[in-house]
Amino acid sequence: MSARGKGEVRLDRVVISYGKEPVVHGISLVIAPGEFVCLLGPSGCGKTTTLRSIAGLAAIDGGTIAIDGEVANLLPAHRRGIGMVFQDLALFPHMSVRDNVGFGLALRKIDAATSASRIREILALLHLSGFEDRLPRQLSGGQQQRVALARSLVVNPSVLLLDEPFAALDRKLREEMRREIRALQRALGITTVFVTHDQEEALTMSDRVVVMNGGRIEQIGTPDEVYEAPANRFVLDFVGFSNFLRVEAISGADRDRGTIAGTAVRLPPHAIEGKASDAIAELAIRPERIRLLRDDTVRDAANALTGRILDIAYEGALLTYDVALADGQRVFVREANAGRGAIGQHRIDQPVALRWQPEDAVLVR
Amino acid sequence: MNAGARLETLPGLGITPRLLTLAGCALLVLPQIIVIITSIDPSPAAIFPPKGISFEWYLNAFTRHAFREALAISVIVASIAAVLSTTIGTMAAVFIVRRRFRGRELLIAALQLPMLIPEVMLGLGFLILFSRAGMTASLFNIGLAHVLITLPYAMRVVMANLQTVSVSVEEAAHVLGAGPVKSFVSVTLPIIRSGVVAALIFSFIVSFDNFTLTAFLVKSRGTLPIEIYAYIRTESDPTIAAISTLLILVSIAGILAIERVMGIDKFSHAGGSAR
Repeated sequence: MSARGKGEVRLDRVVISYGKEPVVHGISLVIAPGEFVCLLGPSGCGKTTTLRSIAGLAAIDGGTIAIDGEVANLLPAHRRGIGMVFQDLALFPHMSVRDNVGFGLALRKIDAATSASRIREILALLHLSGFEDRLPRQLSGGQQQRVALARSLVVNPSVLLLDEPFAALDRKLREEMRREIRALQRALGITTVFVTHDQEEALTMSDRVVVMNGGRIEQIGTPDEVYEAPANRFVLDFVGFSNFLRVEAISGADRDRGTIAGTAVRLPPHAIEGKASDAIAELAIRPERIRLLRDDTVRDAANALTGRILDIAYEGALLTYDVALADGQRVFVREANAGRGAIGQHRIDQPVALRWQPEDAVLVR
Repeated sequence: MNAGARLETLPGLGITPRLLTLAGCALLVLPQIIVIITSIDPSPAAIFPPKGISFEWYLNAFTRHAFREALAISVIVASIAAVLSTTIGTMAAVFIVRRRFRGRELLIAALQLPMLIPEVMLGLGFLILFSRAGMTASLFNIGLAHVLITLPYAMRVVMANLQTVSVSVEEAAHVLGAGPVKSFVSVTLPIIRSGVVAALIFSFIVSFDNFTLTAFLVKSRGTLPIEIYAYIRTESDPTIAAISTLLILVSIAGILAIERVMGIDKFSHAGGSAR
């Protein structure tokens, strides 16, 4: 429905304060037409405030917000032509599904016949045909979600904003809605900004992820860039889980050798700032990038640490091993559940070797 | 009632809480029952218990010109006060509930003040104010004063209702293209409609029943309570009881109406819960 090529959102050094306290510290971001961008971060990081400033619901104290090249700083919310789905959906409780969806069309002075056919189309698209006369409270959570979406999409907004709209849904429905919204967004080609604190949601849905913390952008990148090549320790730690191992010494001509728990390992070429301990550096490795081997199968000492299994968590599709290194440091290792017998392959208290590819790790200085 | 039931299970208290509750209710209701019974007493001395049944006092109440005129004045004053104070109260409630500003708590307190200040003082204040200002139109003055005393009630009812409406519903209307007025009229107002209706009824009753404040401002023609008082000073027949009975019925109808549109408990909880 949305014409391709429209819907560029440009934030330039945007500052937003609540009273005297700045909550967004000059962020810049360009969202291309048709792009699906997630603002990801812990609560209080300024992601929702940023989204609300795009909608015109939060006033900005500095910088520029431009929609399709037009500065929108002073444009009130009702004149921005944006679609937004709120965290609590904010359906009009006293209006039927038809009137909820038709609300924006009525304000645009669209004639009754066109309006009726557009309402019919969007309701069909969102599998809501037949529910026209229901009140919001007579619908299930998923249906209410769809009505909120239909209401924002029916007016052909240049940009669609979603503020944690799945918060109220249970896990299965949430995954279903994720797929559905993503498919719909691709089909309509509508620029979408999505706010979430759920890193899994951000990674599965987005073209690009904007990781925010403390009112600043920590990194902007595709899901795999953010996951594989985090810009700093915050991103590494917030997006997915990572082990952080203390590096006791660094040696070698290229400074590519390190000592962890008394054992020499190869250090990765990729290094970022922000170590949290007093060690020289930390080696960050994702649990699923470590292979767990029986101690006696490791012949050369290159890039392997030895330890003992403290606990095994059975998670269905995955098995997570809690391993203690020689110096007591803990390492989590995650393996796919390979089926019958996988659980018996390693036992608690068993000595094991941990191996990984050096390039799968990140050095944190 | 729930609290009573729970208390009752405490050892040693026995049936006492229930009896106390009943005694309290009786104390509240008995005088009104006596008034109702007196109103059908045929003897002109208004004695209790009555000696028979008669409706002549009702007839007297309806045929006396002074009462009919006073009733008309009361209805007009109460209607104007109800409409004005509900309008102002709704606007004030929207402002107070939706905005965060310095002195917000102070404003809430100030707007509740007419409910707490003794009406004798308010009446005296108004009397001095109006005479200094050269405002001599008695009915206009009474109406103005009634707006002031009914405002806290109207505002509290609407505030209580408004607090249950999520801000995001209004924001959703904005984002969809509705300006502030449009979103208030087509989204907020329909959602708080029951509160507004309750505020109208409440203000009407408060104004209609008011005596003390009105007594200071009345000149020749007064409202119904004033006329009742004037009558009772010279006559002692049960005509007043008949009128009072009618007023009790009107009040009960009003309370039932409020209960129906929004639930009386919501109103009584409105006080301190201002966010």
